[in-house]
Amino acid sequence: MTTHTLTHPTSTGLPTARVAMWWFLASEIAIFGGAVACYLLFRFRHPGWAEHAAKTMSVAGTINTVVLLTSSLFAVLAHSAAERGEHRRAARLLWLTFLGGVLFLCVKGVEYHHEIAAGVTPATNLFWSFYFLLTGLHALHVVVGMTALALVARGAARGLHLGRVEIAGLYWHFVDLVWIFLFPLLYLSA
Amino acid sequence: MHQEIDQQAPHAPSDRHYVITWAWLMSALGVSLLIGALAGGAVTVALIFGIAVAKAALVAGRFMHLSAEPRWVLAILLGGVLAVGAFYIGVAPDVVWGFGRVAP
Repeated sequence: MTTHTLTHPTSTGLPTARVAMWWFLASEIAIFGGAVACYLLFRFRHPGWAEHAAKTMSVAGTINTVVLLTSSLFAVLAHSAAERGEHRRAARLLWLTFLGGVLFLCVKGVEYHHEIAAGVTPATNLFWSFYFLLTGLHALHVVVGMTALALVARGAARGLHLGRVEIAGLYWHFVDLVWIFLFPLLYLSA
Repeated sequence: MHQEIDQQAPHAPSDRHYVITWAWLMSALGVSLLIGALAGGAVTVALIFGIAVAKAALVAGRFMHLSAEPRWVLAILLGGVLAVGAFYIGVAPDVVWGFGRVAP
């Protein structure tokens, strides 16, 4: 029988895993924030970058924004299902979130393919260096998030470690949050 | 079998609440695309980034339940934001305006 209790009460009143994830996300803010701050500094120095930004594939960026926002919805619904003890539904929703990650990477792959085929690489100029750095770093985080989601979904399908659904979801929402800022920075600010 | 679920969690909104939040996020995306397509200039950029901040607040507050967490959790995250802000302010004069650059 499944019961929903806090098995390890902590001095903070929150599960340790959740506190740890918040600390981890704070460090991630510093990583992405530092990279974005560098981009902004150079963007203000080089107003001509707007021409390069106009060449990014905004349709692909828009599709990926819809995909990530929708996958975030699935992640929070999975958390909601896990809190109600509906472990199979939670697992299904986590796999749907994972599918969102697959779709995101496919669109990103098509985008990279078109750009590289057009002769644009990270070595082209500083704008494209930042573009590939920021989107590549983000895509790496998507892959890490998908791995976590798959591991948690496997356990959730068997009713194990349902508390981890929320933790994996927090990370996934953060990946979504980063994209919310990258999309206008790289695609819409032309 | 015991699961590591936090019964003390103050957040237990319905699934409908999450779907409505998602609809708001989609609408905000639509508005920012529309603004980007129709107009140009600094005001447009400010509006687009304002909408991005609003979307981020929706995701953090409603999907990540940050609004229901104790304030010290917010302080942890603000620590990261402040570190980035300090870095930006410290480096901006050199990078953007070229202060301290030695002439060749």
